[in-house]
Amino acid sequence: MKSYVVFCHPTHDSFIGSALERVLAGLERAGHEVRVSDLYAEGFRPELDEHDRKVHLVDHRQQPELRPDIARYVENLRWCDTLIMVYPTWWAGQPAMLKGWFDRVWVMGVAWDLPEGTNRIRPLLRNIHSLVAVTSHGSSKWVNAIEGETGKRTMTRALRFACNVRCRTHWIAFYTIDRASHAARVAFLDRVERRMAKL
Amino acid sequence: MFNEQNKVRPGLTNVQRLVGITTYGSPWRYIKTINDNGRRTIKRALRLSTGWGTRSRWLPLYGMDTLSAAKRERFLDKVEKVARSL
Repeated sequence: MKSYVVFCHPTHDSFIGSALERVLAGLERAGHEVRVSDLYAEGFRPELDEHDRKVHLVDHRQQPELRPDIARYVENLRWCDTLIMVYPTWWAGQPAMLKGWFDRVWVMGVAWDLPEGTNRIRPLLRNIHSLVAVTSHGSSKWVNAIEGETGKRTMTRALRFACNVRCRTHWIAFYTIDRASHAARVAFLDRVERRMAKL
Repeated sequence: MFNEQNKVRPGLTNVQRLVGITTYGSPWRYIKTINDNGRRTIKRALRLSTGWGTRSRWLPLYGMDTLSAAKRERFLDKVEKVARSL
C-alpha cells in the first residue's frame, strides 16, 4: 500500500502532532510505503492568487510549468492509493492552510476535468482508493451536527468525488477535546494507531 | 468566548445581519450532494459566534459556468436590490 500523509498543524508538540506520530507508527506496523508532506514546515503558500485564478481553467497536464510550486504534491497524489490528512478542525472545517492546499493543488488536470459545454466535473484521482481524515474538534458532536459537519463532508463528499468511484472514507475524529480528560485523549491516540494498522 | 464550563458562547453579539454572496461553478444538485459547506459555514458555524438572533441571507449563483449572460445579469440585479433593502 502506498500512503500519502498530509500533515497540517503549525507545531509538532501539539495533540495533532502526536496524532501524526501515531499515524506513522500504525502505517509502519502495517508495512505501508509512506510519503509525508508537512504543509507549514514546507512553507506552502495557500492563497489562490490572481495568477492562479487566471490559469484556473488551464489543464495542468498540458502546462505544468504554470504552477511550478505544486509539482511535488501532484506527483505524490498521483502516486498514492491511500490519502491520509491529519489536521485540527477550526471553524467547523479544515485550517486555511489545508483548504488552500485543496484550492491550489486539486486543480483542473490533477483532481478533475471539465469537458467543454458542461458544468459537471469528472474525477481524475482514480488511483486513490482510501481517504482518511484524522482530526480533533473543540466542540461536541452535537454542536458540529448543528453546524452541518462541513469539515467531514468536505472529506467524505467533495474530495471523495475526485477519487476512485469505489473509494472508502475513514473519519477518525475526536470531539469535545476542550473538556476531555487525559485518559480519553490517550485512548483516542491509541485508536488512531490501531485504525492505521488495519487500513 | 468560553464560559465557566469551558463551552463556547457567542462573542460577536453586536452583529445583527450576516449576508453571504457567492457563485458556484457546479450546479445546485451537485452542491447539495456535497453538503453546500459554504452556506452552512455562514448560516450555521458563524452564527454560533454572533448568536442565533442574527438574521442571515444567502445569495448564491449556482452552476454559473453554463448560465446565460441574462441570468447572470439578473443575479447581479438581485444582489443590488437586496443590498439596498438591508
